[in-house]
Amino acid sequence: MSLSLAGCQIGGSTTGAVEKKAASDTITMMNYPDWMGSKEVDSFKEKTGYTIKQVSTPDGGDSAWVNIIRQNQGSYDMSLAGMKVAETLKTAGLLEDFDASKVKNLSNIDEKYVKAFPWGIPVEQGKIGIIYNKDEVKDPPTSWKDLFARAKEFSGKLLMPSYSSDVIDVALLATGHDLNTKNTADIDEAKQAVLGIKQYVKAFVDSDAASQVYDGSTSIAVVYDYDYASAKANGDKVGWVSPSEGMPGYIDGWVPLKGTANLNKVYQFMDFHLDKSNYADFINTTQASWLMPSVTDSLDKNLVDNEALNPETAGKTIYGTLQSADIQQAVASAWQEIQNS
Amino acid sequence: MKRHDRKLDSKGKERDGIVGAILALPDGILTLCCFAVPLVIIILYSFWKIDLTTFIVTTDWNLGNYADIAKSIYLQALLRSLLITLITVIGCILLGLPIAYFIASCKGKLQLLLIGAIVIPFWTSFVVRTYAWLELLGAHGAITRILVGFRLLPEGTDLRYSLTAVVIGMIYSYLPMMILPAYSTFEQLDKSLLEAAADLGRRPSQAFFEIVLPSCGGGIAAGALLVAIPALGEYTIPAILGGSKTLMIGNVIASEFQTTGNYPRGAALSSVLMLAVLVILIGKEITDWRKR
Repeated sequence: MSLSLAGCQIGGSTTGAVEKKAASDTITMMNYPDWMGSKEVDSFKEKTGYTIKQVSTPDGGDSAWVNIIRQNQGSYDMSLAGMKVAETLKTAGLLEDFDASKVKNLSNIDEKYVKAFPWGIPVEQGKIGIIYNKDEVKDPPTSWKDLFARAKEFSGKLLMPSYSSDVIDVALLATGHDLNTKNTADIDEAKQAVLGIKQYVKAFVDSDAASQVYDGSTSIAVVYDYDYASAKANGDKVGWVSPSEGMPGYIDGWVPLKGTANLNKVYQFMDFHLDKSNYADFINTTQASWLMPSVTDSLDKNLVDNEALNPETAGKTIYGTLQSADIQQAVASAWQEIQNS
Repeated sequence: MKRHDRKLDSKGKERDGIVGAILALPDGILTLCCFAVPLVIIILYSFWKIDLTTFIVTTDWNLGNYADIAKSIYLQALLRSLLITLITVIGCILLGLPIAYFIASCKGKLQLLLIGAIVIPFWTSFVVRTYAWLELLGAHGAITRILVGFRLLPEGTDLRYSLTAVVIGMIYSYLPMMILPAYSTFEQLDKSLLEAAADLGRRPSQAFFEIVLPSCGGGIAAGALLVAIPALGEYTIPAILGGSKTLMIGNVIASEFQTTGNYPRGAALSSVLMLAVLVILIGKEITDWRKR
């Protein structure tokens, strides 16, 4: 039995034929709102005559993302996807095999990112580090282990992210484990570490952390690099630490979706995106951390000077990969226990 | 002649019945498609399994998802939800009834103005209003400053991300659900009873407790239910104002659906929550029936 019901495929088949929509001059892409170069869509239409129709990514986690694509197989030609989503889509048979030879400008991207993102073109990255208020914290922690050990010092003025995998990833590194561990006992140890500092954590938040560090109502926070960028844009009151164990990170990329009748046009758009001037426009618009070293000189000065966003200065980033069902369930249960305690 | 009238009357009733059925049809179809069918889907999902690496659900019938709910973490979240809901209902009753009574005792434009004051803030998004409370409850927020000013809180207190903030947010959000039905019943109260109570020497507070409250119990109970039912499944307020440190059952369900993608377990938890609400509603019906 194979039918689509409320966003989930019921049944076992993951390789069933996908109904292709008719080829058209419109490429439909699932993307973050406005996560595109300011002139990119218009310039591409001017050059090729093809229109880019962007559909917003869903709220919720990776599962919602995958299910929307599954539910609408054949409706989208391509999608923005993080590494875990891309790997899940591949496992579920929802991706077209990516032919790198069709995207000549892929050679502009640093090879290590191309290798880390084999499902399409990598376009930007993000990572989790520590920010602190320079007036409040004179001697910031230099590692995750240090942050956990000194949590009491920041009691009531420490903010953590509110996404389960972010919290557990940081705790895994603090307890000396691999971010991509396959051992549920490591997850348990990471959970215990978070439970040990929970009494000192002001909150687990998904927004507003940087502004609270900036205004001094919080001393220190675990945030994404783009949060630091927004705080730094206001002045020099906030500092950034790249913890010595490395930073949990991700690469976002563009992937071609199974069922597209516009595959060649998708490759054309990918190639256009990785043209140096278009890519610089994309990074200057989104203020994301870039993957193309040769465009650094074309980027806004505030981006280049940002030690968290500039890949030359950002420090070691460890990318999370798709985990087994057991590990995913262990992470989810650990997070619920942390919130419940 | 009488027989003829009865025939006409019977035909009229039959025609009215058909018209009524036709008029009710769109509503019935809507209820079936948007309420009953999704409910059945949720219940079906709760007995199925999912592969968390591909998010494919298989119709592999089992009770595992319900067995998982017996874990202490879920029971604790459910009990915490019940406790916070109870506090919210009590808070809404204590604050809502005097307000509703006052509005009902006002006349004309003032009454309309007061009802507008209750309703108009709700034209703004619920999430935006909840985030606004983050500002009000912060160390420099208006509410905190007032409480510090009255020496009810020590200087530098930050009320955000606490159980207090969650309770304040929930009472604020659900207060109109208590005020509006209570106001409606207070409005219908026979005012001559209050005049009689005054003539017999009862103070207004005595009249409120001895006449108004017993007469308006139905409206108050309806208000309490309107507050309790959504409050039990609330997840936005604990997530925003509780800083993800206060886990309610709604948060667990949201986490299972949105973060983990474990739809069957989320469905099982939702079914249990629905059952809890159903028990409350049946309890109220039995109480009403006994009174009758």
